[in-house]
Amino acid sequence: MIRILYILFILSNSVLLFSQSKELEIEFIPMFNGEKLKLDFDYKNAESTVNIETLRFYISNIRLSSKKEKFKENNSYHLLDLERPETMLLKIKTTKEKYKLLTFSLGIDSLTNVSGAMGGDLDPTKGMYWTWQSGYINFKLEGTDSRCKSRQNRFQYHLGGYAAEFSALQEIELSIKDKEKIIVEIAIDKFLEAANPEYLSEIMSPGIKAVELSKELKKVITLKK
Amino acid sequence: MIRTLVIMVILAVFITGFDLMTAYRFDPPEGWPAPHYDFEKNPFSAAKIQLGRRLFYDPILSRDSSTSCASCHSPFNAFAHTDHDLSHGVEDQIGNRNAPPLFNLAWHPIFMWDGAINHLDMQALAPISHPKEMDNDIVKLVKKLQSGSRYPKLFSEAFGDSTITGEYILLALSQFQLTLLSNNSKYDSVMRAESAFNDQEKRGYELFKTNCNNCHKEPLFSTFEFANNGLALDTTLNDYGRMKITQQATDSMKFKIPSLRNLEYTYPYMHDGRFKKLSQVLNHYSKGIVQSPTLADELKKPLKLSANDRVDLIAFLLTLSDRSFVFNKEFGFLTVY
Ligand code: HEC
Ligand code: HEC
Repeated sequence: MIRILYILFILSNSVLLFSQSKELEIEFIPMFNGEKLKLDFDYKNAESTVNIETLRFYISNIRLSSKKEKFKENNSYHLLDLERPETMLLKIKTTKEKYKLLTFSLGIDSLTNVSGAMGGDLDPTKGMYWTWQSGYINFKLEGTDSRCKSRQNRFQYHLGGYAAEFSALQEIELSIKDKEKIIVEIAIDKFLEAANPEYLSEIMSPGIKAVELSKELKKVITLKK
Repeated sequence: MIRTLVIMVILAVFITGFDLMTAYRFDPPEGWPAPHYDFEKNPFSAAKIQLGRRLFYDPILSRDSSTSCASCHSPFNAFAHTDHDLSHGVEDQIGNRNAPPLFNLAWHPIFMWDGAINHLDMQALAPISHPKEMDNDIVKLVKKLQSGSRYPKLFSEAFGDSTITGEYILLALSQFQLTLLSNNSKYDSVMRAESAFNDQEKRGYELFKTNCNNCHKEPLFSTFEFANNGLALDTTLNDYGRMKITQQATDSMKFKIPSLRNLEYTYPYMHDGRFKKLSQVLNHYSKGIVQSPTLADELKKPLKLSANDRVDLIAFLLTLSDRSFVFNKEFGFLTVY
């Protein structure tokens, strides 16, 4: 009997939900030299040859607002991995189709960082959790750049850190003006220039450098015109 | 109508939930502070605890299937390690440090000697993973457990899901470790008015309250804060403790204050296991303190402990040994096959 009631309850609830829900698509497109970034591809520039092998990052806490309405996605954690292109497209169930402002975080907030083991995109098997010192890696970029003085010209930028002074989380706000499909571009080439792989080929832990570079990352995230 | 439905459903969930809770509730000893661990996020069940126990004793967790958690955290040493050499299966990150005992972990707000780990659930990732190539080993472990014949069934019994995940492994390991409660020492029975200290222990207890209780606070015998207790830097290790994590000079040489329960079983002492005997520890506190800018205020003036005081103090410290904990069969070795 109780089970039937339970099912009824779930059903009535989901009917309600469906009748209200709209879907808003947010696509993230990493860019290189003005084009869609291809993994494992040699970009031959004037001074160097660059090859990106891994690009993985968290988008979380997605919020949308218009003059009258504010929307906040529940359980809003998304791991985007260029290796799995389908993860670059987020479908957000909202109450409206049109909003003026999109706000999200690049990375994982500090409360989630201290809340113990979690599943789904936050599962520690996703390769985005530091093991010797607790904390999520917000953004991971790995590859080679002929300017790097490291072994095999490799660079590895693992940006993260949640503790107050080394908080690397970036809050990003984009004015989306009623768009139905939102395309967010990330200029990885510009980020790489800012990181300056010739002098700094590795960031593997929280600290000042991770914070600085995370701020640079924020600068190259823009809405596609 | 909808409202009655909702109420009925909530009631039903509550009743079934309550049923499970009463069977395996975590009971903090009377008079102890509230535990730090959030049990609501990881509700206890017998199946999860036993799964965690199997994992804890299973060398399958290490890359070459040679080392289990218990290799370094032995039940007979209150889950510490009495062998000074930690090299076996250890990456350099932890090889420099003495394995701390494991008990009353629900009260620890932070883990490792330098507080590198912020939550018990996440701790196991540190020993499981390689420190440089961090992101691979838990993935391999999941695959290894999934492809075996025994574990999928155990995970299914514990989590209602035979697809093993990193989260489930960590939650199960936490559950077993959280059951490691040590509160049956002579000290505890004296506090419960079931027995009494002898004169020497009484004197030791008074000395303890004056000199040590600020940091090694009753009843857990630690505040779990970080302090510099005046140990000289071992220049072969150059371990500055908490500073490595916070990158603040004010945290130089600070280490997590350890509990003093079960010292009888957990030698050698301190983060690098530099002292083999309690008498050496007390010699340190009475005449070995190294002055430095971050030295704890309590220790700036040497503690006045005569030779007799030190003997009395040790007698008291030994009342913190919990034999029933060390020999508890519920916590012992459990194989999978
Ligand atoms: C090779 C030895 C070794 C193995 C294997 C090992 N540990 Fe440890 N453990 C240590 C050392 C050493 C420390 C202290 C590390 C530090 O402070 O940096 C430690 C710390 C801990 C702590 C923190 C205790 C505290 O008071 O902060 C817990 C919990 C723990 N280990 C559980 C485990 C579990 C669970 C496993 C198996 C998955 C495991 N250990 C495997 C050596 C080991
Ligand atoms: C200022 C805080 C403070 C005071 C006061 C203090 N301790 Fe400690 N104690 C610590 C810290 C911190 C450590 C760990 C140091 C390390 O390993 O680097 C420690 C470690 C120990 C250990 C080693 C435990 C283990 O498992 O390795 C013993 C035993 C000990 N203290 C006993 C005492 C006694 C007895 C007193 C009083 C005479 C005392 N302590 C006073 C902070 C304090």
